[in-house]
Amino acid sequence: MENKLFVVITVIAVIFLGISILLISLDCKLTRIEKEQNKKSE
Amino acid sequence: MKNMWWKIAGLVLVLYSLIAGLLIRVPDLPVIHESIRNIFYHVCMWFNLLILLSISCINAVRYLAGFNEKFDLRSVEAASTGVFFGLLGLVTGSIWARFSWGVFWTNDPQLNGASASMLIYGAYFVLRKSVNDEEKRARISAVYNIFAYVMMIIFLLILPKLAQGSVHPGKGGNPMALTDLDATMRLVFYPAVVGWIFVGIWIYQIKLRIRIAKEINGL
Amino acid sequence: MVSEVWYLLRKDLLLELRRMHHLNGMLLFVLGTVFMCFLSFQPGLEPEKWNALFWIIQLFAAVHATGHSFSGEHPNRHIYYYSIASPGAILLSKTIYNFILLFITGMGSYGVFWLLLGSPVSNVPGFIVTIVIAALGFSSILTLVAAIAWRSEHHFSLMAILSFPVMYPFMIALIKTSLIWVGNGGAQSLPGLMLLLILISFLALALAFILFPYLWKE
Repeated sequence: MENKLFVVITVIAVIFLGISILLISLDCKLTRIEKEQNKKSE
Repeated sequence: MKNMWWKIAGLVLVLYSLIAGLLIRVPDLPVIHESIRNIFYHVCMWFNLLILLSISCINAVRYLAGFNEKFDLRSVEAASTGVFFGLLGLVTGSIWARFSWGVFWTNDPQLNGASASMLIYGAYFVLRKSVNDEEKRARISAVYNIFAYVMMIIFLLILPKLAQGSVHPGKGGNPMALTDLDATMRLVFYPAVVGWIFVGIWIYQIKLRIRIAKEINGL
Repeated sequence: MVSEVWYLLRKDLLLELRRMHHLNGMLLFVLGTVFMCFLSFQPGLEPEKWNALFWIIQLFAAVHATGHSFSGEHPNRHIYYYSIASPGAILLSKTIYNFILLFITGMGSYGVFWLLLGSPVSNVPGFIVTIVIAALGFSSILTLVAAIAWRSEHHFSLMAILSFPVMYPFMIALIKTSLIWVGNGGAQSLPGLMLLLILISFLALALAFILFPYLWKE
């Protein structure tokens, strides 16, 4: 019973960490793109 | 990454609530039992929905004040992120209802309010699709956004008072209300709410920035 | 402002009196729908269902009636109105016109219901007051939605999609209020509900008054 619970928690945590990494990478990529666009417009 | 601290804080808080929400000891209440843990996940979706739709409405007002296209983009992206969280809220609520009351859907003020707001913003997106001229689309949909938001708030406020009973906490003889949450549950519930709000606003900002980057590149 | 509203309203009413196309259309619509219900609900209706059916048919009729508020006229004439009247006056005159139209339609449909489906209404004056308040709320909410739908290109299909979700709070309170006058009556407090209906109507009217200029200008 206890083991099952920890498996569930691990799966949820891994999925959430995946989503977090996706969000962070998107954010970084956008920051880079925005910098380039700012340079271009100047 | 700009302004990192609150984004990371949001992620950490949500992760904490996901894990702690399943591990802590919860009071064993009739009808809901262990499913009470869903409060950490389900309720946060509704907070996010309301906050994002409010952002959408505020930006609609700001659009009408100066006809700056920037605010129209903000308004529509906030609305679509809000609707996304609303759908998540409906799904988590529906699963919860299935396990504690045996049905997926009941005639309940909160549920009705939620589905009404989904329909309102569904109509909002249909309206946006049906106008071709950009400036006109922004103007008309901002007007509808403000009007519909006010009607939605009225609906959410009056429904519980008009309804006879509710399956939601604190009403119709249900065991508990949000205000008398168990002390350990508060330790998870408040961080969960704050964390999800941060993450919700972050997702909205990312969507908005993608949209703006695409517009500039002419995609 | 008042004189502008009055002139525009008189123009609409005179046109309507001369042609009678809106009113006759509405009454025929109600007659047709209620007759359909008469054929469908053969063993008769319980008061609660009668009440709900009455207001839902009223809502459909109102959406239908107000949908033509702006699209019924030639675009060139709108440019003319734009040059002579303020947007607020145009909105108010249209709202008052819709109010009159919806009140007559409401009374007419009550008559048709009474003829075909019987009348479980236990307090007739109270029910008529509810029809007046309903006409007020319908006209103040739907006139703005009609203007929005008219501004987008596909106004007829959009009218129903846009108006139903914003009508929910008004409709649910309206059906509860009207249930007090129908059959045995509900247990809800009457003054509160009436106040709520009037409050929603005037809030909608105030919002429409503020927002309409943004739709009106080209």
